[in-house]
Amino acid sequence: MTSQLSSVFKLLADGFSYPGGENLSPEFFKAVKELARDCGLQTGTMDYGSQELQEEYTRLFINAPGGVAAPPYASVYVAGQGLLMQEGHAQAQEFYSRAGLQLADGQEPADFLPLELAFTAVLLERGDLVLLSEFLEKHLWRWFQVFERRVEASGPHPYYSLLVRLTLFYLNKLKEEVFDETT
Amino acid sequence: MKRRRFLKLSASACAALAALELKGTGMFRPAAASTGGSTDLPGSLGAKDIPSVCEMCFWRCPIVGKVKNGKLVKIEGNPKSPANDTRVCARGNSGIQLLYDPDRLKYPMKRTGKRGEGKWARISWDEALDEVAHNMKKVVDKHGPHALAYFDHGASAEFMRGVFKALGTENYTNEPAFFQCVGPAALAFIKSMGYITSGTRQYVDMKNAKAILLVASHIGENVHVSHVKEYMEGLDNGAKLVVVDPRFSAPAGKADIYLPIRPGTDTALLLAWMNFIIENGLYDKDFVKNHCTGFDDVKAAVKKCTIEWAAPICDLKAEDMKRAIITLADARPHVAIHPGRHATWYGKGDTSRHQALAILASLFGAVGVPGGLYFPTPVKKAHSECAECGGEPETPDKSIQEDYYPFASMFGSPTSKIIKASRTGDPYPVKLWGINGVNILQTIPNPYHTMEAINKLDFIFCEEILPTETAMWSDIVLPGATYLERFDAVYTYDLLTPYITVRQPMVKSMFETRSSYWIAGQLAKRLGMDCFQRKNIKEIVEEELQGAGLTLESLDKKGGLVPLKANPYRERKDLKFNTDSGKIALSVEDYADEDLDPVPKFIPTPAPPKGFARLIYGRVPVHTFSRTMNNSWLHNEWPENELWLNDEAASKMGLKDGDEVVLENQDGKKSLPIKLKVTPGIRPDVVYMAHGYGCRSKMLTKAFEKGASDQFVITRYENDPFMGASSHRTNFVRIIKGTKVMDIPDLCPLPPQLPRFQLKKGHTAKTGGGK
Repeated sequence: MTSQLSSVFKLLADGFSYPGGENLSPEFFKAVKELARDCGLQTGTMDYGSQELQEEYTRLFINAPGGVAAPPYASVYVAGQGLLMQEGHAQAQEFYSRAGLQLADGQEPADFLPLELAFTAVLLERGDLVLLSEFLEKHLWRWFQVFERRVEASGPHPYYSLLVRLTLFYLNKLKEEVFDETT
Repeated sequence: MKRRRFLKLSASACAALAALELKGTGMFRPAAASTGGSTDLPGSLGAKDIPSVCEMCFWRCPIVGKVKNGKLVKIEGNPKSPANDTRVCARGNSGIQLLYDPDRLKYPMKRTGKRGEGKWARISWDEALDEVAHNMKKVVDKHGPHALAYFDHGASAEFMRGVFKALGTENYTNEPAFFQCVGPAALAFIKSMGYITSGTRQYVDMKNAKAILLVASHIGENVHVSHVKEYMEGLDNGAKLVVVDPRFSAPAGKADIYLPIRPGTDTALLLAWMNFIIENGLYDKDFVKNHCTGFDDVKAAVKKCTIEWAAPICDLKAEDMKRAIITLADARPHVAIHPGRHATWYGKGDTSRHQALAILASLFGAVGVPGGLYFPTPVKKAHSECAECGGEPETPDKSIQEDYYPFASMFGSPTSKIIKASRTGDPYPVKLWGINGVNILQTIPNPYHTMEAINKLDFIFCEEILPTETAMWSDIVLPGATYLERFDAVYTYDLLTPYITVRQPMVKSMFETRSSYWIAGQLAKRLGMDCFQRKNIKEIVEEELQGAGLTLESLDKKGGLVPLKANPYRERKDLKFNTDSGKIALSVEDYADEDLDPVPKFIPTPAPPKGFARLIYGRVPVHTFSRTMNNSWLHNEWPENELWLNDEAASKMGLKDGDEVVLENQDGKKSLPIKLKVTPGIRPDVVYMAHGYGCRSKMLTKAFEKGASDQFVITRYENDPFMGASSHRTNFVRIIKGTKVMDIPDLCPLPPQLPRFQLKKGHTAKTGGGK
């Protein structure tokens, strides 16, 4: 089962990457839709154009008037520092290092949400539930809740609203099923 | 442990997932051994030291970055530096807050909404560069090369300047640094003394001076570490300080003699002082006779400019003016006549005012001596030139660079004329702007004209670090790496404590930001140019260092900096200036050849109309223009500016310290709201605010609408007739509180020689507003 969940987190990692190519394909949207159905979340037709999602991704996560709704970096949330590459970043790096991993390319900071979701997928794939439980409890699940509220508060495009809710759903499931039991 | 009840996916979800090729685990690889400093120790302890050069302002102090685990944790002054040693200023300390600002530009962007709206989508570097190159070619094909214009600032903007130049536009540079700032001062000293006594840096030996003259130089409010340090050492050593300023500035607070001059009359004061020292024999006759030309012209020109003539014009007491000039004369030749820096005040007369400062220094023999103006020490390095960008573009029949102002071409194309050509097509249409390292909407007078011009362009792009107003108005935004993430040219410092050093990256550049060299090179390639042939800028740095007998490795071993021996002074017998005569030109024939005054003349600038005060501006020590306003530490230190208003005027208007007001200028343009600082430390006929505030880019979350921008009420400007710089102190404001438009009382009677500015007919009070 963990390998199925691993695929879910890989999908979420791609979903929170900039829209372009594979993550704009009908197959990708179909998978998101199927997962949403599994979770009891409503979806529309999901007939989205690339420009509308790219503009929205830019507004929500990159640069926007009024500041981006929710910077997708742990560092901004952990310890309330509002700055990149601080404690939240160090935490992410520390977890990767404990898993014997480093980033394949260093373009994005280690605490970039898609990387953290992909890391979750790696731990699920490896079945390393002890480290996963700690990673979620001390790090990802904590800041993701604030992130999710900020995205939802910004009047997001239904697709990104769905993606944050879907992610929260699976993180909550993991919380119930992994770290509530391992601790 | 209970048996886990893992969530099961539906068969259709599994099938849908299985059909995808997800990146997932490919984002990671097995960890290599750590190369960073130790993370066991707190703070910057155990960090790796990387020497480099600051760029929080253009003074560029040598610094050391403390790097741990690929992360910059602290910045200090480079202890090897003889100029700033371990010191950095507040801004230098705060570079990390720029590097890690979540608001910074991260990827190339294309505009998807209206210009200025801030609606963007991320694009790839290929798409961004293709788009820029395509539009450059299209504009050149349709309108010719001169339809391209480049606004640039800073060393790293030079690479892209080469691209514009190679495309053949005469408008390959119009640096706001010259046309909005130091141009008139630079020209005056080049023509009088044969070298750029005031450009990026000022060659004035305040450290060894017995007296210092500052004419509206606000040292300490604008902080350039070694400059402030030498100024303070000079004062510690007992130098007398004379400060001329309509406002009781930080240096006024340290002055032995403070002259609260009427704005726009500084040249009258300087001419009267020249007259006084000539009439009273208080000048250096030997120096003037042997090392200057044109003394008789100066003597004749100032003949009628007595202290008594100047006193009512300058609104100063004659005895204070005399006391000040005697204090300066007594210290000759060890008297530091500060050449000034920001000189674009009134348009007419700006070059002349700085020429007058050059003459005053010369009359004191205060050149090439300790305590006076001194010579740069040439620092040997190789120059890495590109042949393709080396040639000068052809001048068109009607030329922006050549036709308006005789000495503009020494600095490029006057900014105001580029904007006019873009708005009106006169003398020819300018259709594409490239902008690099300068936030044009918070720098150039009349931003409303600038926005109008942008709306008429076929295309506009910028290279930027933060999403400034300029980025908001651009079609394509190219994200530049900060000074902490890139190599740049080799830096040499040729002042009293010379050295050679180099800027190098402390950390890997974040996101998809790129160095200016890379960006210019990629653009050149797409335009079919043979420029930027070296693999990367590191090769250029190595090549330049080779000329100094160094390599990056050997420089690093020496702490990243090599101090050199200074050669600032000359024996009088060895004095030789880089002018036609080899002497200082007190009277400048080149000016006369262009029907301009060869010696300075007092040209009155119109005084404020009744009910208005002149708007002047300055700096705060923790900010560099509008560049640093979004920096969290610096924002925290000084989040907004205040409007200084004379206490007597305020009391007559019923205004109190801390009241929030809006300014309305002579053209009916209003500022953002700003709080009053009511003080006796400013004349009643001027109001003052620090520049750089009042950000209008909604993308800068900390800076947006904090304080008011002087620039948005500086709509009226005149051009310096010598080199075409645009004036900034030719605007008049009154105050709006709530919905009430208030006249500023006229407490400084005008002598008949000084005209008042005439408001446009039908100018009426407007009420309310503020945005």
